[in-house]
Amino acid sequence: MYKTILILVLALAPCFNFLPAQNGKVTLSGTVKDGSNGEDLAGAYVVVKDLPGTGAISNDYGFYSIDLPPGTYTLTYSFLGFEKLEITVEMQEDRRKDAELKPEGTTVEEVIISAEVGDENVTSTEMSVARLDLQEIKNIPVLFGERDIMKTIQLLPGISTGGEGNGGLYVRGGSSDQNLILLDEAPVYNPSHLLGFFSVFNSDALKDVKLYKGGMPAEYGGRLSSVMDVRMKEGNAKELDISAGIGLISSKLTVEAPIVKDKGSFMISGRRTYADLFLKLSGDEDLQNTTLYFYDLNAKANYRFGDKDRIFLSGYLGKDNFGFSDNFGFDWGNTTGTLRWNHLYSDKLFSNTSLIRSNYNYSIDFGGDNGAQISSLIKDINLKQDFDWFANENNTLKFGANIIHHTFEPGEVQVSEEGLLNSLELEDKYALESAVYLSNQQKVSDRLSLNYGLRYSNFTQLGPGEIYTFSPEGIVSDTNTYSSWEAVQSYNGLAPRFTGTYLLDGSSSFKGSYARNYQYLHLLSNSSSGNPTDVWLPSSNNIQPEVSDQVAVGYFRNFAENQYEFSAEAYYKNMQNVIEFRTGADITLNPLVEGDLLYGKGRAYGLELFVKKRSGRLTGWLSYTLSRSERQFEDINEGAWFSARQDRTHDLSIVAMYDLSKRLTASATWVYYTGNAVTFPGGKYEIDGQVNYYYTERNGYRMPDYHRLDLGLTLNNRKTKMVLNPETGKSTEVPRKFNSSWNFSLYNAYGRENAYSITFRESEADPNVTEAVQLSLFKWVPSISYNFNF
Amino acid sequence: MKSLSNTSPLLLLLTGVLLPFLFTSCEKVVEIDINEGNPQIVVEGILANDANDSGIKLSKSGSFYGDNNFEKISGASVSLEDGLGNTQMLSEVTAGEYSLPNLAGTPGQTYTLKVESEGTEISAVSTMPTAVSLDSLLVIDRRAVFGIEGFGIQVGITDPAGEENYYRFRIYRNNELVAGYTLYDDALFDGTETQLPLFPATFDRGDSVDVEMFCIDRATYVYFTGLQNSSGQGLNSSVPGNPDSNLNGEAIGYFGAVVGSRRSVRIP
Repeated sequence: MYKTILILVLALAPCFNFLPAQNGKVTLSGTVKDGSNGEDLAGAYVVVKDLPGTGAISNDYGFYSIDLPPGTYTLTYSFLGFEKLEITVEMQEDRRKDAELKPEGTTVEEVIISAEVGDENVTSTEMSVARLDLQEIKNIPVLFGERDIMKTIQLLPGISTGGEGNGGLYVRGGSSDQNLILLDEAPVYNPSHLLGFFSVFNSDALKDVKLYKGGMPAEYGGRLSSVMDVRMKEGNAKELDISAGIGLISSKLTVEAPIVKDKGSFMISGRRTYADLFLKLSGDEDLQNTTLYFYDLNAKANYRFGDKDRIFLSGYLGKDNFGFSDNFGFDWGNTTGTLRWNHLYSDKLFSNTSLIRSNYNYSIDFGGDNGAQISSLIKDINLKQDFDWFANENNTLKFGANIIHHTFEPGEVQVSEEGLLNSLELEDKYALESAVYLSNQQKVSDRLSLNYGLRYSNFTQLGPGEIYTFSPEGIVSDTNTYSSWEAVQSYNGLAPRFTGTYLLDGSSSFKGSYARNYQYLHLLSNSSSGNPTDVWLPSSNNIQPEVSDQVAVGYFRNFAENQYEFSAEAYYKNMQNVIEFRTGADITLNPLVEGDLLYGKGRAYGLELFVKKRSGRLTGWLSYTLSRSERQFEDINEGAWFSARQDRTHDLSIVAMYDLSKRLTASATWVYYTGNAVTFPGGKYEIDGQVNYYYTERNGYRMPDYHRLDLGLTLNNRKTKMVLNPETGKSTEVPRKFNSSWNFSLYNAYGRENAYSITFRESEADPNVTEAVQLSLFKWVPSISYNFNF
Repeated sequence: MKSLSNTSPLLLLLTGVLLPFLFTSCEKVVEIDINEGNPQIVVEGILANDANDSGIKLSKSGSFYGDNNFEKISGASVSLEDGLGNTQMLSEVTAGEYSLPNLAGTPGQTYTLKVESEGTEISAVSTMPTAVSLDSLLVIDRRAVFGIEGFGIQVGITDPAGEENYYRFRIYRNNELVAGYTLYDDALFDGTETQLPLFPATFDRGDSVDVEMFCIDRATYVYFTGLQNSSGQGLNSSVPGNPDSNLNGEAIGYFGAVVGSRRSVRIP
């Protein structure tokens, strides 16, 4: 490992030093913030107007640093959705300069907002990135009016849904467990509520959502297909802000306030559904006895200690509860906690240290007092150190390390009364996952920018325990006993990462990327849509890490002074050691589950087109993906390549929002996609007097094509009010403190009966023949919600 | 273990109760173009400790949209060999059904089935498990236990300690077989005197209930688990496929040496 670190350093070490200024230059550094509430702006552009080509991009905590020869400069700060800010600074020595940008549209005089939109999508070295503007998605119509980033992000190219009621994300042909979903750096192991109909992310508590489909920067690793980096709001550092929403199925409340103005703030946000309250009103006694709800609680606080230090503490707690009288209860949920310390070692070296906990567990209780409880959990503790080094005007380095200790409790049964059943506990599993990385963002010339890096990871399965070894047929061939912390099996992975941007002219660029990823944790799910009871298993002496290599190329172009944005990307992804189950494998409480796994290969490729209109009365986008995703297993389909379930030939989304007036916005989305690849029978036969189906090919059939139109209407209250000045006798228009909006939506506006499932049964009319039955959900679902903040 | 996976159907049942209420779901019969597979030889071989339960059935798989009268395979050569080297040729009792008047096995013995039909040779091996008796059959009021209308049943057995035991149940309501497969392995109750609820059958007052319990070997258990888990593209179902079978040769089905016992009860 040390050797690799050395190679990493040598390979990437241009002759830099950490001394604040070099060649007589002085350093300008600071934080870019949202002027309305003090939130940090990550990824803001700081450009020195007098020195074309010189500038910086703020890091995840809004920090930036630029080296300049002494002199007087005009700086431009810009960030998408905010008005540009110009500041003139006199630079004779190192200086700190924080900048506060105003969100666009807060300036009262403007009738139609002339947004300051940039060309970052063309110039940055990032590609294959999907980003959601949380303000923008407020107007997009959604099921039950419940805003959901996981659902909305599926309207972008390369990211698809598994279908209604499927909480999974399928990124560029990968499976739903191949996404690293991070909430304030903490992995969220099950991002779904209510069996997949909703996600765990309460958008009121979130600040920023970014999803890497490829070309992941070296600081991320651990999943094959994507990284979804979700960050919570820090809380309003200027004033108390309360916002709330009342919807059809849930209500939510968020409180933000400064701890000490401009030094520290907190945010706390809660959401709870109340579908079960409706059940209580039902005349059916069975429904009255049913409990069904979920809740989320997000909280975050931060405080600055002096100029150089800042502490953040954030946490998430979410739970689903499903119950039936006193005799059956099923609950599951995630908990995460992140403690972060930002420290400036110099004007150029920014450090973040994080201590992170994640936990996912479920428990099923049944049989009342004499019954039993089944439970399972995965929990992590993760220590992470990251450095951002603004080395000079052309190079920004990132390097760091992290180490995660995983504990897996794959399943246990506890009985209240010994006798009828025995208690059973599958052996806990332990593992250490560690990584070091180094990357450099380099500006090679005015036209060429590169971001390249290496990530080296290690995964070690640890004792104690009885460790089975399985033969290729899945039979136990050997059993060994290991003691505490004894290494059972260790894997290493060296993952190169590269993205490059070549500017063709002022408004277009060509980009290319390559990324390798290793995945050491595997979600075992024997259902097509994902269950709360799915189990995460570590790589082990039997399960090899999954590996993917992805190359992507893209053409990016903006039109009409950045009003329109266009991109085309093509990718090819190769996957090794992907996992499937043997037919009929039992994943619940099976100590020998590793023997029921099959290992194979995967490949996915596609073309993604995206056009977006970013400003004006009409905004929105069109996203189209043409793709293929296939798998090959020796024991499935006689070793031939077959379509993965999530293989989508065509996937089209159109999103449009139109400002009818200052207060009224209409919106519509239309989606169309090829149905999932599914396995249907090719015949039937009789066993035990019952008809069974005979299968000839895996995923050889298609569900019907899916399409749906959703409509939405948002009515905002007046943003301003007239105030009479008693001295002058004149009225002036001032912004209101209280803002509210009504949101109406209609899901599946033309009532298309999309297939949720197709099953086979003996015909009711003639039990001697078989028929196919299609189940559809959600034909016309209207909803209404009311949101306000003050 | 199967008992616990059976909470999942219960969950689905609940979801089934709730989904239509919460959402506007709808169901309709659709036409699916099926690529018909070639007809397969289907072997259903049971050797029990009691001749009444024993018999080897040979048939062919049929077309998906065809009727459920499957073609029987007559004129096959079917033999059974015990672990001591004795081979018995079975005779065709009715069309496609092969047996002998006293066809019965002994727990602990290993048997080999050999079938030859139309040039295809099929063989399979199974060991008859330890006999476990069905101690009791009780009626349970589901309202008291699960809060759901109706009655369920549970059986009492004494599981032998220190060995893996697998059980399969056939449940008859008013002399009619209840569809579905009810399976248990003893991972959770090894060596105990236990009560096993038999999902998913429910009963009304006055119903007559007959339960057959078969002690089966691991291969048979795996086969039926596969049948149970791969019944289609239902809510949360697993990817369907043909179950793992202990047959060697071009055929589907299974051969299992089993030990049977029965009990009956009437719902009061």
